[in-house]
Formats: sequence, structure tokens, C-alpha cells
Amino acid sequence: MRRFYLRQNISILVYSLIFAFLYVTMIDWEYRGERLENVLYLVTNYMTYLGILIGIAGMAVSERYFRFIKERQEGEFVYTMPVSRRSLWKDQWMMSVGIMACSWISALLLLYITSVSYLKDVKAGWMILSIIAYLLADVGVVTFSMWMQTRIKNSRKAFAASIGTIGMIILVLKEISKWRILYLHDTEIGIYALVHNAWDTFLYSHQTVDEYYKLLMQHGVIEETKLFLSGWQVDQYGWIYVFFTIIILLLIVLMVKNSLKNCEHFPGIRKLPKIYGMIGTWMVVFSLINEISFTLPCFNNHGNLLLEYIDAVRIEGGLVDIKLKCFAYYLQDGVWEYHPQIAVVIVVLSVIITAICVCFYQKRHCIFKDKIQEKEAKA
Amino acid sequence: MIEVKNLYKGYGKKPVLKNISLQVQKGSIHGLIGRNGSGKTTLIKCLTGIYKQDQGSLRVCGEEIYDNPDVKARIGYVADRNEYFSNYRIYEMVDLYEELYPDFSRSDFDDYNEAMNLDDRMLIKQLSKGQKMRLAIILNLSIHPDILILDEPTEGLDVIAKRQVMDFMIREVEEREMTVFITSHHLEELENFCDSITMIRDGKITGCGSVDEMKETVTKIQIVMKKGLPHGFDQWKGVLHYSNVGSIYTIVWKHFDEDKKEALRLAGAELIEEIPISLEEIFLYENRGQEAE
Repeated sequence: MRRFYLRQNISILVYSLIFAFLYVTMIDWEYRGERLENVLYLVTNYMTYLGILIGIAGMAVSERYFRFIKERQEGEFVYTMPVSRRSLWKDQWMMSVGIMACSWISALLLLYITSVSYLKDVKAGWMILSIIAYLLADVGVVTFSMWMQTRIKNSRKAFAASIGTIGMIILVLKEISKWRILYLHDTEIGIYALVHNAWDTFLYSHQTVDEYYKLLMQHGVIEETKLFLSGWQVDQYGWIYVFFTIIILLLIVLMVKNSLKNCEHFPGIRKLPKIYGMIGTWMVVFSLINEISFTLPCFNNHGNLLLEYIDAVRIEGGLVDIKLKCFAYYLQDGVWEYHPQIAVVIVVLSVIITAICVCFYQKRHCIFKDKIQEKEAKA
Repeated sequence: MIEVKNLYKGYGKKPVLKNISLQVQKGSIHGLIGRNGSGKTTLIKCLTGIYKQDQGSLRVCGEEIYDNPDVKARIGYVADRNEYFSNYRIYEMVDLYEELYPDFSRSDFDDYNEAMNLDDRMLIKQLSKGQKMRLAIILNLSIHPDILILDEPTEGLDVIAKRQVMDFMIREVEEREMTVFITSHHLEELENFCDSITMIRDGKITGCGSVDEMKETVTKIQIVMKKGLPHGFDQWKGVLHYSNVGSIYTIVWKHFDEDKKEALRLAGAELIEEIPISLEEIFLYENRGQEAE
């Protein structure tokens, strides 16, 4: 099957290289910043988007592969061949990881070749650590999407659910931050800002983080606007890196182990426990209620609440060019009042609406099931 | 070679196969017949390891087949619709088979292909239904399987290809004692080709045995009854079907014996003659009879 896997997957490499090439051509090579600003410019411009593109390419190719092996006719042909179901999943996973690693290495080489003089200030060791961080993140995302494929029958739905789940986690983290800051504390750094900053610290090299922090100080962004920057992440870079590495590796191991168990049911699947659906529904309901609550006329004094996270770039014009993204979240001085009762109402309301949604779904599901059984009995 | 005991399989809560038990001996050709939706393909998918049975045991070559690559390497499977990798060329499929099946013989494939006349540079998606079937059959014969499982293999084949395929299979059975498990709706073909037959209806086995044994259980007789059939004849035990032209009646009877012959005589039958019955007729009247029940 090696030949088959290689042929199925070679497109990840091709897509990734095309993305890398296109992105390199998009970089503004005319830009000449001071000292290590170049590093910041390149790393923040180049790697984040490349990481997203390679991750999405990996997910898309694994979706295509699962569409094939879960299809009724084509998939069934695969299961008659002398190949175990576990190796069908495992080999594809290894191939995806291998090719994503090749994509990252080739992207690094491409970057080095095209801008060797430009990168003279970049420390290779830090850059490689950063590449490993991005690779781990991509492997984590693709493993998650491949795990989802063992839990949701329709491969397109599984693909959409993977992207949707990541989006929902980001959304709910943001909403929890807003909810906590706006209704419970007036000057707090939100959980989303905390996670986001720590995540950026993990992905960007220590050199980038360090330089950026210095730049913020130099431009006086921190003092002038009373930013609630989590400066600790510069000092604790190593710990943050190790923490995220361990967490991602642990998640990958768990997902691989679970997927290998689940895939024994191919071409069928092991369905996701209902609790996942309930949590997902709550996340959406809570986010909606929270967002709507800001716009109600009775909270008019909070009309500017959407501004609570303002990018540092907007404040300090000098930083716009280098598009610094780390540590960008802070809370503007506010005059809001505490509304702990509203906070409780939002949570309770979201739980009640979720319960109603779940009951409604269950009832509808039962009615449909009864109707189908009735039809079958008649037939 | 194939041993199925009390097998149950369903999709969701809907049972498709109910309490299936059958045995197929090494070197024999076994046919599986049944109407559309009777569970033939589901049984075949269990036998090839695509699906796992819900209950019961299923042993192929002495082992469980589900997720067992060692056993699968000894089994050839020709599906009713052979969907290979559509962007592959024939020679690439041959390469894949050679890589996966230890007993695959390229020279045998070439020999078979000489008769089948497939251009190995053609893409799978360019092949017609019949060509795909031919490719599937010769690929699976070239792996020298212990068991060859075929789901309606003659669909889409022309008469010459059909004959060639049958000859290839018979040769493999004779030379290597390959076991063949086959389903088809062309019962006259199966009658001549198979050593034994299993009849399946609504997921249950309704008859099993050699073709001769099956013919022994169902008898077609012709009788002369000038007074006509006695009242309530259609309720007589074992009567599957009857028709008449004037006073000559043709009756298809399950488990016809001397007692029934005597009963007919007492009812006024003047001449009772057994006439040959085909497998197709047995299948037809068995299924009709059960539908009426």
C-alpha cells in the first residue's frame, strides 16, 4: 500500500510547496527594519500563515483519503485487501506527518535560500524550535481531524466538524473572556488573551518574543496605554514551550490511540458520545447570548465593549509596519459597572436553552426513528 | 473452508441475516441464490471481512476473517461493482496486487489477459463495466486464492468472456482445489457450474445442498385427473404450484413421496409421471410458495 499512500498524499507536499512559494513572493522584500525587526517581520508574516496553509492542506488531503476509504463501493474494496484497518489509519497518519515535516523543512530551506542575507541576524536554533512548534501544531490539528473521521460517518461532515470545533473553542474562549471582564471584573486580562499570548510565545521563536517585548518598551506602548501585558511569558519562554509541547504530544498520543481503536469499525464508525454535542451546543448558545447581551439597550453604557481588545498596532502607529501580533490584547480603561447578576443570568439561560435544544433534538430524533420503523413495518 | 454458524447481521436495528449456518468444502463450487434484498451481498461482505457479524461465528480457512490480513491474502473477491482506484492504470493495479498478495503471479495475469485482451495502459475509469469485471476476475485468479468469492460475476460479460471465465475457474478448481463461492441470478449457469447451492430468503436459509439433493426435495409431476383436482387441493401439504391444460395437471411438490402419490390416486389421478425440474423452477416455486404463505 506504500505506493498508494504516497500517491494519495504527495499532493500535501505539492500544495505546501506552492503555498510556501506564493507566500515568499508576497513578502515585502523591500522592507528594511532595524536590526531584528527583520526577524519579527519575517517570522510573524511568514510562518503563521504558512502553518495554517500546511495544516489545512494536511486536513484536506486526509479528508479526501477518508472519503475514499469510507465510501460504500470504493472503500469496501480496500477492506477486502490484506491490510489491517489499524494500518489503514496509521500509515495515512504517518504519511501526513512525514509530508508535513518535509513541507516545513522545505519551507525553511526556501526561506533561507531566498533571504540568506536578510536573515543574518536570525539564530538558527531558535528558528528551528519555532518550526518544530508549528509542525507540532499542524500535526495536532491533522491528528484531530483524522480522529474526527473515525467518529463521524460522512467524511465531509467530519472535516467541517474539525474546523468548526477549533473555531468554536476560539470563539468560546473569547466570549468567556468578555463575559468575565465585562460583568465580573473591570480590569482583567481575559483567558483568551492569556492563552493566545502563551500560544504565540510557543509558536514564535524566543528571539522574536524577546525582540518584540523590547520594541514595545522602546515605543513606550506599555507605559503609555497601561497595557495588561503578560510580560512573564518572555521570562518563562522555556516553560511555556515545554508545557505546550507536552500538552500537544499528549493530545496527539491520546487521539492516535483512540483512533486506532475506533478505526477497527471501518467502514462503520464509533459515534461521538452525546456529551460532545451538548457541550458544542452550549458553546454556541452561550456565545450568542453573551454577544447579544452587549447590544441590548439596557446595557447602552457598554456600547463600546467590543473595543475591549484593541490591537497594540492601532495604538502605536510605529508598530503597524511590522505587524506585531504578540501581546496585543489588553483592556482599555473602562467605566463599566459590575453586573454579577447578569453574568449568572447569561450562564443559566445558556444552560436552559441548551437543555431545550437537546430535548427537542431527542424528540425529533425519536419521532423520525418511529416513522422509519413504521414505514419498514408497513413495507 | 468456509464455516458459518448461527450468524446474525443487521444494519442499525434492522436484521438482514438471521441465523445463517452453512459449510463449504475445500475444492467445491458453492452457489448462493436469492431474490434482490434477500441478504446475499451482506453475507458475502461478512465472508470477505468487510463487515463484522453481530452474532455467531464465521471462519474462513479456519480463522476469523474480519481484520485478518493473513486470511485475506488467501481470498479473492470479485464484487458486483468493482470500483478500483479510478485514477490508476491497469498495470498499476497489477503492481498493487503484486505488492499486497504474496502468491500473485504476473505471468499468470499476462496469460489470462491474453484471453481477456485488456490494454494494461488504460485507466480504470476508462473501462466499461464488463472490462472492469474481466479485470477483477483475472486479478483475483492471479493471486492464486484458496477461496474465490464472486458476487454476480457474469453481469456485464459477453457470452465468450463468460465462457472463458468459467473455464479459468474450473481449471483452478481442478488443478489447485480452489474453493468457489458464487452468487448469480442466472440460475441455469449455476445449475451446471455448482456442486452445491444455498437458497436464501429474507436473510434466512431456505434450502441447502447439492443440486441433485435440491431436485430430490422438490418434484414436478404430471397427472391426468378427469374429474379435476379435489376440493382444497391447494391446502395439501407441500404443494408449491399447480396448473392445468384440460385434464392434464402439472404440480410442483415439496417432499413428494409414496403416501402423497397414493393420496392422489385415491383422489382419482389416472396417470402420475415425474418430469425433470430445473433449479430455476425450484427457486421460482419455492419463493412463490413462501410469498403466498
